[in-house]
Amino acid sequence: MTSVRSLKHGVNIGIGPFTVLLRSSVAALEEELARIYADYPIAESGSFVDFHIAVARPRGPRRWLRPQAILDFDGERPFAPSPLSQAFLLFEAGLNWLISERANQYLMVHAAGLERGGRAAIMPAPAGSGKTTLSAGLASRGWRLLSDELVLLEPEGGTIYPVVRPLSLKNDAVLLIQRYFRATVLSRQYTDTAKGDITFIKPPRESVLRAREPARPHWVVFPKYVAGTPAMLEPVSKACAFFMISDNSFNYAIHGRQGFDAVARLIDACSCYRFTYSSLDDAAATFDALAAAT
Amino acid sequence: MRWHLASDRKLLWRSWDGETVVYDDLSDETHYLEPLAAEIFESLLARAADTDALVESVGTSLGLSPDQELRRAVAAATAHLCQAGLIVERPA
Repeated sequence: MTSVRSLKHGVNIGIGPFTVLLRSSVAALEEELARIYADYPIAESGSFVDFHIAVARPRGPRRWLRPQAILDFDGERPFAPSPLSQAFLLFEAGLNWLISERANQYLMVHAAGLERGGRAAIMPAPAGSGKTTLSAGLASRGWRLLSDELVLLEPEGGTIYPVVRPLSLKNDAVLLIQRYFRATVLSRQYTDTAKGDITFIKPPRESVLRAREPARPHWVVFPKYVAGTPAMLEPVSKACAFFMISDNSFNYAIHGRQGFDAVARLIDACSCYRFTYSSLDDAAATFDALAAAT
Repeated sequence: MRWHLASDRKLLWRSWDGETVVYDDLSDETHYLEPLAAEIFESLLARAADTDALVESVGTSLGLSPDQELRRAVAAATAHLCQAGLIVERPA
């Protein structure tokens, strides 16, 4: 994707609807970017930039003694420094934070999003529900990944804008994904983070290349991994789904009446389900049947 | 005394299959109304009513007999709606 030299001067990375200007001279970050962000478009210098991010090594003893990386957004440093070896993790967390804090032109829902045949499934779920694993599994079976973490809904028109990012797998989930599809490109494993051990999956190339192509919502599915259970899809009332969507939105309250209307339109447009599963194969078969039936 | 929708705020609402969600722009809160509360809300959208009239109206809509049990349920639901600021009680 880029080189240390160009990264030092700044590279404009197209990430969904956003352009991120990243500057860094941290080799560990550059190595991971080259592997995980290999398919992302690079915008020309001078393009409009949504987010300016710098990942640097601090001055002073922490440049050499247990070296650290620091994250800078236009002079703002909302994150504590991380070990230098975790610079990529710091960049990912920082970009998540920036988008969720500043992209309030969208209604943002903590959810995975996948699309097939122009119709999108939105899957809101709290951390630990297995939505990233499910997203990775479906993305390997012909569904286009829109996001594994943050669905951006345009409030007036109800369109979903993809924001395809590396998929972040916690702890043993990576073993499951490696068994499920072997061609996956993985980051190194980041151990002992606040969220446990984290490994990133390079997102599917086709999803990255189609990241400027919006989708229409068609299903809302609340997934939950429950060990040993068969895949089961059960209808959820639309009023309950409304509440679960608004509960999982970062900025529903900020949008006020417009947020209410946006969620109501979303619910109008979607069939709503609760989904429990334990096998990715069964889950993929259930989603394929859903796409074929409706 | 009759129940009215609160007039000091702008309410938005949507109903699906007997359940309703209501947005109150004064408090910026969204409320979930289960079927009985949703039916009371809908009845008050049409016209203000006292508790007896509400019991009759929601009983007819939901196919329930207007007995003491329904009266107690309507009283509890109107109290919740009032507490949420969505309806108010005023002299007839």
